[in-house]
Amino acid sequence: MELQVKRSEHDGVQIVSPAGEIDVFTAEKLKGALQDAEASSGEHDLIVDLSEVSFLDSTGIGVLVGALRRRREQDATLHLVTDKASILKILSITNLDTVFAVHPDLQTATGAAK
Amino acid sequence: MTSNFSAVPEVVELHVPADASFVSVLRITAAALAARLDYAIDQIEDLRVMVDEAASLLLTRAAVPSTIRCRYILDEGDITLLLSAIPQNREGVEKDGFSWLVLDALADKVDARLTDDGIEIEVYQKRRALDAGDTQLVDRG
Repeated sequence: MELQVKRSEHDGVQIVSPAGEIDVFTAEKLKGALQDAEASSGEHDLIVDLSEVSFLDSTGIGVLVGALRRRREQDATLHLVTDKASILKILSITNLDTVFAVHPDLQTATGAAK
Repeated sequence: MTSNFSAVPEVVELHVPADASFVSVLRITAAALAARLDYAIDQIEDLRVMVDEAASLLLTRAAVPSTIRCRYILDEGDITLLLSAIPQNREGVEKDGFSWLVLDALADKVDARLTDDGIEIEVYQKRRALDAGDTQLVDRG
C-alpha cells in the first residue's frame, strides 16, 4: 500500500499532505517529507493535512509527535487536519487530541497557523 | 439479518515475512473477515488497527529474517487474533508504548506471552450487536 506525500505552502506555512495508509512501512516516507518541510519552516507552524489518509497507526502517530517536538523547539506548533472518526479515535486513545491542534478542514488550519 | 456463523470455530491462517511491507496484507485480511461477519464499519476499523499494532509490535522483536504467523479465529461472530514470531531473544513485547496503549484500549482482551515456539500476542474482539445507526460495508439482508 503506497503512501503519496505532497507539499505546498500558505503564507509561509508549509502544508504536508499525505495520501494513503500510514503504518510501520510507510511512516519513514512521511518522516522524510516532514523533515524537508521543517527545513523550510523557520519559526512557522506546520500543517499536516490527513484528509486523504485512510489509515493511521501508532507508528505514524510517533512520527507526528517527533515533528511536533521539533516545531516546539522553534516556538511553533503542528496542526493536524482530519475529520475521520477512526483517526480521531487513535488520537484520543493516545491522549494526543489535546496535544496537537486538530482541525476539521484545511481552511480552519491555515486560519489558525502562524 | 441472516448469519453465516459456523457452529465450530473457523480458522484463517496467514504466514507473512517479518517485514514491514507485509503488515498491510494482515490488515486487508482482517477487514475482509470482519466484513464477512457483518461487523459495523467502526468495528472493522478497530480490527484493522489491532492486527496492525500487534504485527508492528512483533516486528520490533522478530528475528531477521523470519516469519509472522497470524491466525484469525472466528467463533460465533467473535474474532481472536493470534500473532506469533520467532524473537531475537527471550525478552517480551514492549508494553509501555503507543502500540500497546492502542491495543489495550480497543481490544476486549489482549495478552502477550513467551511460548516454547516464540513470542505470541492474542487479541480478542467480541462482535458488537449492530445499532440502527451503524454503517455496514455490505448489506447482507
